[in-house]
Amino acid sequence: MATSHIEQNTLRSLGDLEIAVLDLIWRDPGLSAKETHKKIGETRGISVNTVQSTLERLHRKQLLERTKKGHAFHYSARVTRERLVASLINDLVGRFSSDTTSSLAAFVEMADQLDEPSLQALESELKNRRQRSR
Amino acid sequence: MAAWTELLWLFFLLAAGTWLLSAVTSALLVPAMLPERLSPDIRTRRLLLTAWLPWIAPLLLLVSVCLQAGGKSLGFIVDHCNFHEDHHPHLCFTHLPAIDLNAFHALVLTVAVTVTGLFVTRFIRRERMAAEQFRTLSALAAGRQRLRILDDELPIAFAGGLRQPLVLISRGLLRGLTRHEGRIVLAHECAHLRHQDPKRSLLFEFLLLAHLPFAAGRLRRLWRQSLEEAADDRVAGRFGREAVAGTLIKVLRLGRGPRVGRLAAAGADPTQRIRRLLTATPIMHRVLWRFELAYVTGLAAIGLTPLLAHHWLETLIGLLHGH
Repeated sequence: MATSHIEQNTLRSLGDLEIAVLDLIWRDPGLSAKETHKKIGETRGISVNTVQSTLERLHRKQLLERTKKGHAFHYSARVTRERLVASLINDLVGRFSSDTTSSLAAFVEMADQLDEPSLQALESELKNRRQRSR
Repeated sequence: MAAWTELLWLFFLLAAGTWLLSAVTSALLVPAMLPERLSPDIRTRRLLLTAWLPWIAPLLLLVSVCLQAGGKSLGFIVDHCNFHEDHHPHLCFTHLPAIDLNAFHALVLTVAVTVTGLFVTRFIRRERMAAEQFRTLSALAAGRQRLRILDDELPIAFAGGLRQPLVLISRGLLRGLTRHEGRIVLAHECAHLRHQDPKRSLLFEFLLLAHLPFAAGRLRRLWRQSLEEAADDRVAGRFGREAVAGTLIKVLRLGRGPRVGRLAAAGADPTQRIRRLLTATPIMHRVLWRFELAYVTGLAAIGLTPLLAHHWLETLIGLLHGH
């Protein structure tokens, strides 16, 4: 699977069905709309057309690539799950970090980029405190 | 122009003037009233009050003006308008303001409404996008409970979600911490959710729209720092301050990699958090109420101005219009 640059707008949101389809394609690449519908559409009570539309939407978002075999398109992931997750994290944390934009209504616990002397100074303080409390 | 538009213009002037005064007050005075030794819960309360100020102050003044005008119409207040000269602006519903509005006034009002609308729309769009991205990330994470694991090596944890609050923690972070340290990180994130911090932050961010940009940035930093320190305190109560400080230092060590360097620091200053956990200086939980007293007194002064300085206010408006 090739990774590719993920457009900003594709990271905006993925619906539940889009995620379910992506999940399936990651596990089982090269499926047609009919095959995809058989695996997840029937249990959800949705039509083949709905699955087809979802696949096309993901293709337009550059998350899936397709090849024509006979009369039908077969879909494979263009982006790995890890790459998509990493891009989402980068985007969310970047949004959160920017002082001029509104924050994500969430909290991010993330390692800050401290230099080695600063880290050692903090560790030394912790060590002193532990020794004092013994 | 219709009389009601002239009254609207007067109200706009009053609201804009009060907004500016309260926004500047927030910017200049508040940081000085939030010493670091003060308990983070008290700091967040004061910050929230400060965030409300540019919203409440103009509203309070307008309500006060309307109450007085209404009181005059109903005969509860003496009709002081008889002492006015004809060209003097009136803040009442009976005598219409003697102001000649022109295209300039209409332009100012239009610009003000448009800019306000743009700010609010941009805020809503931004928050919606972030919420959708968080939801997508949650759906891609492993697990379906309140705690989900992200398949990523970046040492990171999120606590968020407005409709379905949950904690996302990466494999990279879990692999780098001991089981005990992982529990501390998890407890910290859960402390944010238990205290409704995501929802409070959303409200706080919305309120910051009415603040001057440089002040909004400063208030935001103080807010995040306070919320993080409050969560640290809650977790420290269970695991001990040294254990929490040690875990934070470990997380900082884990983060010394190229990818983290590309992402800017998020949220609160970790060095300040760690030093605060390790310091022996007691935290001020006792409130001296100076801030709250000044706040209420200021609002009372704004509310009473139309009653006690009615004529002065009208004279000022008159001067602004060349009367």
